Amino acid sequence: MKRGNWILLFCFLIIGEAFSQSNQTFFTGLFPEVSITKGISPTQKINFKIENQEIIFDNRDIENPQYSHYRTDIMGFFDQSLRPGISVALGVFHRFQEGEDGNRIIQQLAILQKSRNLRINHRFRTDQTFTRNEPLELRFRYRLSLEIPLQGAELDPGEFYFLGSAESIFSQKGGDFEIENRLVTSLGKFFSRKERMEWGIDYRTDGYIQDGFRTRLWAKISYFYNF
Amino acid sequence: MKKNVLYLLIFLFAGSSFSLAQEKIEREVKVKPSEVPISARSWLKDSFEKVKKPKWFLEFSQEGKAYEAKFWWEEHYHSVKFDSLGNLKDVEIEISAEEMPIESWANVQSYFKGEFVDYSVQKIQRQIIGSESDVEDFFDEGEKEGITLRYEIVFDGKKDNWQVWEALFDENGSFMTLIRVQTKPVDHLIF
Repeated sequence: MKRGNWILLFCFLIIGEAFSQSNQTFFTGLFPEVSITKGISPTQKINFKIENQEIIFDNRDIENPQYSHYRTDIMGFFDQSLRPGISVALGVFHRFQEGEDGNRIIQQLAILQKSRNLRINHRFRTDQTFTRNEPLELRFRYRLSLEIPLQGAELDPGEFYFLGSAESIFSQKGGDFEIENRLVTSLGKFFSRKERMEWGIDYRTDGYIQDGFRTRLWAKISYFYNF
Repeated sequence: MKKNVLYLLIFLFAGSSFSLAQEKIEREVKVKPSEVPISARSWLKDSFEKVKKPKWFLEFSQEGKAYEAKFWWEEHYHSVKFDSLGNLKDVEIEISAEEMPIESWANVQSYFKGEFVDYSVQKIQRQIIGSESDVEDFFDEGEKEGITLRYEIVFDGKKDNWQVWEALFDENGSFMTLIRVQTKPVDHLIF
């Protein structure tokens, strides 16, 4: 498939999803994140990441446009490369959210495929979330990411790229099963091997099975530093 | 409210206001055919008559500027490189291991087995080097006079650790050079 078709497919999926549901909980806001990765040996690296979500519109309270803190997540990973393109990682995570602070342990397998002009990454995760006064939550996640250079056949420093990702999350908490889907489309700039930024839309749907259906749409800005 | 304004400012001006350092390394950009020296376009048209619309790129590196045409022809991906004046440098064709001469491939494998604990080939390119007329004859008539053939192989190889490598072999599969390939960061894809 040509790169333009991949981009159109992702945009179509997100817009289609956003307009396909009507009576639902919906909120939207800003989602900045910063990721710092340090190589500690040729095959090992550590990553620290902070994500912050701020709500600026919630359809459960349309009379009072708001700007409120939703959650802040901090996480750290230790990543071990098994061979080029394949790595495993272990992570710890803490969530700051009103009344729902939680801790999480994460196990990850990432497999990178490269073709002539795009990179496709498969990320498999299992995690266990511990929240006070709530049952243990167990999740399995799979994320497919696609990076397409927008200038030239390969992504070079100083160039822009398109990044699309789709992730499904299957969770089990206190005997209840749930599904969450996430679609992200971003415009990225690869400044150098050390730095890149992405500006994108992150669209999330959950509550398919247990609670009421819910969608969240985030304007996302991401900064990645690698050294 | 102050935080609100701050975030909006970050979103609106992030692209222009972040003074991020940029490294100077190899870079290629797509160019229109009209931006390519006419001598390069003419040679390509003469040598690959049936190729309709090659994609043209301008490559910047420490060695200077170079133009590169990329296209599919006879079920193989071709890259034809010209210098900044439009003079032919080489033609590279992606092939499979089965398409290498048996003896050459055996020599390559023997090198890999001797130097690496384990290996896995990612890409093999046959390089065709020669004068413009000799290379044109090579493609038009299969004439090999004046032609130097080489094989450039990108592979995952394990010495102490797994790394990505690029090795160059001559026509017979005898080893010439080996360099380590710097892979691009993947932190935005995996975390």
